[in-house]
Amino acid sequence: MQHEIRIDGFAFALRPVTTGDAERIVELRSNPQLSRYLHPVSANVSLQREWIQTYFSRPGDYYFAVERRGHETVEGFAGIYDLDPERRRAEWGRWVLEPGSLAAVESALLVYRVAFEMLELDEVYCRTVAENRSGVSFHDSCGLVRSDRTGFVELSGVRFSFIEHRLARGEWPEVKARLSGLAIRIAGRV
Amino acid sequence: MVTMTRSEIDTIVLETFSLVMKKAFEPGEKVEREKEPAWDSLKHIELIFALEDKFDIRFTEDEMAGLKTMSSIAERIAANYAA
Repeated sequence: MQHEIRIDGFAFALRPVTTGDAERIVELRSNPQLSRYLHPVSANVSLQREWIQTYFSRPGDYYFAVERRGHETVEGFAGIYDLDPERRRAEWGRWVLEPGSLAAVESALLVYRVAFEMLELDEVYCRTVAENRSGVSFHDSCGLVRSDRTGFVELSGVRFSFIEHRLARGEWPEVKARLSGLAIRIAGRV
Repeated sequence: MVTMTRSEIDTIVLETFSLVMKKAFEPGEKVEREKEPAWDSLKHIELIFALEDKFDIRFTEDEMAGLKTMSSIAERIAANYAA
Protein backbone atom coordinates (compact mmCIF):
# COMPACT_ATOMS: atom_id res chain seq x y z
CA MET A 1 0.00 0.00 0.00
CA GLN A 2 1.09 3.55 -0.49
CA HIS A 3 2.34 4.27 3.00
CA GLU A 4 4.46 7.02 4.50
CA ILE A 5 6.51 5.09 7.03
CA ARG A 6 10.11 6.17 7.23
CA ILE A 7 12.47 5.03 9.93
CA ASP A 8 16.08 5.96 10.54
CA GLY A 9 18.53 3.57 12.10
CA PHE A 10 22.16 4.08 13.04
CA ALA A 11 23.61 3.74 9.53
CA PHE A 12 20.66 2.70 7.39
CA ALA A 13 17.05 3.74 6.95
CA LEU A 14 13.84 2.38 5.52
CA ARG A 15 11.65 4.54 3.29
CA PRO A 16 8.55 3.74 1.22
CA VAL A 17 9.15 2.15 -2.15
CA THR A 18 8.12 4.35 -5.08
CA THR A 19 7.70 3.61 -8.78
CA GLY A 20 11.13 5.22 -9.17
CA ASP A 21 12.61 2.15 -7.45
CA ALA A 22 11.42 -0.22 -10.18
CA GLU A 23 14.75 -0.32 -12.01
CA ARG A 24 16.74 -0.98 -8.82
CA ILE A 25 14.31 -3.71 -7.74
CA VAL A 26 14.65 -5.41 -11.11
CA GLU A 27 18.44 -5.03 -10.98
CA LEU A 28 18.75 -6.67 -7.57
CA ARG A 29 16.05 -9.30 -7.97
CA SER A 30 17.42 -10.32 -11.36
CA ASN A 31 20.92 -10.86 -9.97
CA PRO A 32 21.38 -14.67 -10.06
CA GLN A 33 23.52 -14.46 -6.92
CA LEU A 34 20.61 -12.93 -5.01
CA SER A 35 17.48 -14.23 -6.66
CA ARG A 36 17.85 -17.97 -6.29
CA TYR A 37 15.45 -18.18 -3.37
CA LEU A 38 13.16 -15.24 -4.26
CA HIS A 39 9.97 -15.16 -6.25
CA PRO A 40 11.06 -14.26 -9.78
CA VAL A 41 10.29 -10.81 -11.15
CA SER A 42 10.08 -9.75 -14.73
CA ALA A 43 13.21 -8.11 -16.09
CA ASN A 44 10.91 -5.52 -17.60
CA VAL A 45 11.11 -2.28 -15.58
CA SER A 46 7.71 -1.10 -16.90
CA LEU A 47 6.07 -4.27 -15.58
CA GLN A 48 7.76 -3.73 -12.23
CA ARG A 49 6.38 -0.18 -12.17
CA GLU A 50 2.92 -1.63 -12.84
CA TRP A 51 3.43 -4.14 -10.02
CA ILE A 52 4.29 -1.27 -7.65
CA GLN A 53 1.19 0.64 -8.77
CA THR A 54 -0.94 -2.41 -7.95
CA TYR A 55 0.87 -2.82 -4.63
CA PHE A 56 -0.03 0.80 -3.76
CA SER A 57 -3.68 -0.19 -3.49
CA ARG A 58 -3.08 -3.44 -1.58
CA PRO A 59 -3.88 -3.04 2.14
CA GLY A 60 -1.61 -4.50 4.78
CA ASP A 61 1.42 -4.42 2.51
CA TYR A 62 4.39 -2.20 3.36
CA TYR A 63 7.31 -2.28 0.93
CA PHE A 64 10.54 -0.46 1.82
CA ALA A 65 13.77 0.59 0.22
CA VAL A 66 16.85 0.13 2.43
CA GLU A 67 18.97 3.26 2.17
CA ARG A 68 22.32 4.17 3.54
CA ARG A 69 21.74 7.25 5.69
CA GLY A 70 23.22 10.47 4.41
CA HIS A 71 23.83 9.05 0.96
CA GLU A 72 20.34 8.01 -0.12
CA THR A 73 21.97 5.05 -1.81
CA VAL A 74 19.52 2.17 -2.09
CA GLU A 75 21.23 -1.01 -0.91
CA GLY A 76 18.16 -3.22 -0.94
CA PHE A 77 14.51 -3.78 -0.25
CA ALA A 78 12.30 -5.46 2.36
CA GLY A 79 8.60 -5.72 3.02
CA ILE A 80 5.97 -6.44 5.65
CA TYR A 81 2.83 -7.93 4.12
CA ASP A 82 -0.17 -10.20 4.55
CA LEU A 83 -0.97 -8.26 7.69
CA ASP A 84 -3.80 -9.88 9.62
CA PRO A 85 -5.44 -7.00 11.52
CA GLU A 86 -7.33 -9.30 13.86
CA ARG A 87 -4.38 -11.42 14.92
CA ARG A 88 -1.99 -8.47 14.72
CA ARG A 89 0.58 -10.46 12.79
CA ALA A 90 2.27 -10.19 9.42
CA GLU A 91 4.94 -11.80 7.32
CA TRP A 92 8.16 -10.04 6.41
CA GLY A 93 10.26 -10.77 3.39
CA ARG A 94 10.96 -9.61 -0.17
CA TRP A 95 14.33 -9.03 1.42
CA VAL A 96 17.19 -8.46 -0.96
CA LEU A 97 20.45 -6.58 -0.41
CA GLU A 98 23.22 -5.84 -2.85
CA PRO A 99 26.20 -8.19 -2.56
CA GLY A 100 28.60 -7.06 0.15
CA SER A 101 26.10 -4.74 1.81
CA LEU A 102 26.50 -4.41 5.57
CA ALA A 103 22.81 -3.55 5.93
CA ALA A 104 21.56 -7.05 6.79
CA VAL A 105 21.51 -6.72 10.56
CA GLU A 106 20.17 -3.18 10.66
CA SER A 107 17.58 -3.62 7.92
CA ALA A 108 16.16 -6.61 9.83
CA LEU A 109 16.20 -4.52 13.02
CA LEU A 110 14.34 -1.69 11.27
CA VAL A 111 11.74 -4.06 9.84
CA TYR A 112 11.05 -5.33 13.37
CA ARG A 113 10.93 -1.78 14.74
CA VAL A 114 8.31 -0.89 12.14
CA ALA A 115 6.36 -4.06 12.90
CA PHE A 116 6.34 -3.80 16.68
CA GLU A 117 6.74 -0.09 17.39
CA MET A 118 4.90 1.56 14.51
CA LEU A 119 2.37 -0.99 13.26
CA GLU A 120 2.03 -2.35 16.82
CA LEU A 121 1.92 -5.96 15.70
CA ASP A 122 2.03 -8.82 18.18
CA GLU A 123 3.95 -11.22 15.95
CA VAL A 124 6.04 -11.23 12.81
CA TYR A 125 7.00 -14.34 10.87
CA CYS A 126 9.23 -15.01 7.91
CA ARG A 127 9.55 -18.00 5.63
CA THR A 128 12.91 -19.00 4.24
CA VAL A 129 13.61 -21.71 1.69
CA ALA A 130 15.20 -24.53 3.72
CA GLU A 131 17.92 -24.94 1.11
CA ASN A 132 18.96 -21.33 1.79
CA ARG A 133 20.86 -22.49 4.85
CA SER A 134 22.69 -19.24 5.57
CA GLY A 135 19.36 -17.40 5.32
CA VAL A 136 17.81 -19.80 7.81
CA SER A 137 20.89 -19.46 10.01
CA PHE A 138 20.57 -15.66 9.96
CA HIS A 139 17.11 -15.79 11.52
CA ASP A 140 18.31 -18.36 14.07
CA SER A 141 21.24 -16.07 14.89
CA CYS A 142 18.90 -13.11 15.40
CA GLY A 143 17.19 -15.13 18.11
CA LEU A 144 13.97 -15.96 16.29
CA VAL A 145 12.13 -19.16 17.09
CA ARG A 146 11.45 -21.75 14.41
CA SER A 147 7.75 -22.48 14.29
CA ASP A 148 6.25 -25.93 13.78
CA ARG A 149 4.74 -24.79 10.52
CA THR A 150 6.46 -25.94 7.36
CA GLY A 151 5.30 -26.02 3.79
CA PHE A 152 6.34 -25.58 0.23
CA VAL A 153 6.90 -22.66 -2.07
CA GLU A 154 7.29 -22.80 -5.84
CA LEU A 155 10.00 -20.60 -7.33
CA SER A 156 10.53 -20.56 -11.09
CA GLY A 157 8.76 -23.90 -11.35
CA VAL A 158 10.84 -25.59 -8.66
CA ARG A 159 9.24 -26.68 -5.40
CA PHE A 160 11.16 -25.85 -2.24
CA SER A 161 10.28 -26.52 1.39
CA PHE A 162 10.41 -23.51 3.69
CA ILE A 163 11.21 -22.96 7.34
CA GLU A 164 9.13 -20.46 9.27
CA HIS A 165 10.64 -18.30 12.00
CA ARG A 166 8.53 -16.26 14.39
CA LEU A 167 9.19 -13.28 16.58
CA ALA A 168 6.56 -12.44 19.18
CA ARG A 169 6.23 -9.09 20.91
CA GLY A 170 7.44 -10.58 24.21
CA GLU A 171 10.71 -11.71 22.63
CA TRP A 172 11.26 -8.48 20.73
CA PRO A 173 13.20 -6.55 23.45
CA GLU A 174 15.87 -9.23 23.62
CA VAL A 175 16.23 -9.44 19.83
CA LYS A 176 16.23 -5.64 19.61
CA ALA A 177 19.07 -5.37 22.11
CA ARG A 178 21.11 -7.99 20.27
CA LEU A 179 20.64 -6.46 16.82
CA SER A 180 21.03 -2.87 18.04
CA GLY A 181 24.39 -3.63 19.64
CA LEU A 182 25.73 -4.92 16.35
CA ALA A 183 24.07 -2.18 14.28
CA ILE A 184 25.66 0.55 16.40
CA ARG A 185 29.08 -0.94 15.87
CA ILE A 186 28.52 -1.36 12.13
CA ALA A 187 27.45 2.28 11.95
CA GLY A 188 30.87 3.27 13.21
CA ARG A 189 32.35 1.69 10.14
CA VAL A 190 30.15 2.78 7.24
CA MET B 1 52.72 -3.99 19.10
CA VAL B 2 52.79 -7.48 20.56
CA THR B 3 54.49 -9.92 18.22
CA MET B 4 52.65 -13.02 17.18
CA THR B 5 53.62 -15.93 14.98
CA ARG B 6 51.44 -17.02 12.06
CA SER B 7 50.72 -20.23 13.93
CA GLU B 8 49.47 -18.30 16.94
CA ILE B 9 47.33 -16.13 14.68
CA ASP B 10 45.87 -19.19 12.96
CA THR B 11 45.05 -20.75 16.31
CA ILE B 12 43.25 -17.67 17.61
CA VAL B 13 41.35 -17.25 14.35
CA LEU B 14 40.29 -20.90 14.46
CA GLU B 15 39.15 -20.60 18.08
CA THR B 16 37.21 -17.45 17.29
CA PHE B 17 35.50 -19.06 14.31
CA SER B 18 34.49 -22.05 16.43
CA LEU B 19 33.21 -19.80 19.22
CA VAL B 20 31.14 -17.51 16.97
CA MET B 21 29.78 -20.23 14.70
CA LYS B 22 29.16 -22.54 17.68
CA LYS B 23 30.85 -25.31 15.73
CA ALA B 24 34.23 -27.01 16.02
CA PHE B 25 36.60 -26.42 13.11
CA GLU B 26 39.81 -28.37 12.62
CA PRO B 27 43.24 -26.76 12.12
CA GLY B 28 43.87 -26.36 8.41
CA GLU B 29 40.20 -26.85 7.56
CA LYS B 30 39.11 -24.87 4.52
CA VAL B 31 36.22 -22.71 5.70
CA GLU B 32 34.43 -20.62 3.06
CA ARG B 33 31.52 -18.27 3.66
CA GLU B 34 29.71 -19.52 0.56
CA LYS B 35 29.84 -23.12 1.73
CA GLU B 36 29.49 -22.81 5.50
CA PRO B 37 25.80 -22.45 6.43
CA ALA B 38 26.56 -21.19 9.93
CA TRP B 39 28.52 -18.27 8.47
CA ASP B 40 25.47 -16.06 7.99
CA SER B 41 25.38 -12.27 7.73
CA LEU B 42 24.96 -11.76 11.46
CA LYS B 43 27.67 -14.21 12.45
CA HIS B 44 29.96 -12.59 9.89
CA ILE B 45 29.66 -9.28 11.69
CA GLU B 46 30.11 -10.93 15.10
CA LEU B 47 33.17 -12.73 13.78
CA ILE B 48 34.75 -9.58 12.38
CA PHE B 49 34.21 -7.64 15.60
CA ALA B 50 35.44 -10.53 17.76
CA LEU B 51 38.64 -10.73 15.71
CA GLU B 52 39.11 -6.97 15.85
CA ASP B 53 38.90 -7.12 19.63
CA LYS B 54 41.26 -10.08 19.94
CA PHE B 55 43.91 -8.69 17.60
CA ASP B 56 43.36 -4.99 18.28
CA ILE B 57 42.92 -4.25 14.59
CA ARG B 58 40.24 -2.61 12.49
CA PHE B 59 38.94 -4.00 9.22
CA THR B 60 37.82 -1.54 6.56
CA GLU B 61 34.27 -1.67 5.24
CA ASP B 62 35.53 -3.25 2.00
CA GLU B 63 37.38 -5.90 3.98
CA MET B 64 34.33 -6.59 6.13
CA ALA B 65 32.38 -7.27 2.96
CA GLY B 66 35.12 -9.01 1.04
CA LEU B 67 36.77 -11.42 3.48
CA LYS B 68 35.10 -14.73 2.70
CA THR B 69 37.43 -17.47 3.86
CA MET B 70 39.05 -18.26 7.18
CA SER B 71 42.47 -18.38 5.54
CA SER B 72 42.10 -14.94 3.91
CA ILE B 73 41.07 -13.48 7.24
CA ALA B 74 44.11 -15.01 8.94
CA GLU B 75 46.34 -13.69 6.15
CA ARG B 76 44.87 -10.20 6.51
CA ILE B 77 45.54 -10.26 10.24
CA ALA B 78 49.07 -11.62 9.75
CA ALA B 79 49.79 -8.84 7.25
CA ASN B 80 48.78 -6.33 9.90
CA TYR B 81 51.23 -7.82 12.36
CA ALA B 82 54.01 -7.86 9.76
CA ALA B 83 53.44 -4.21 8.87
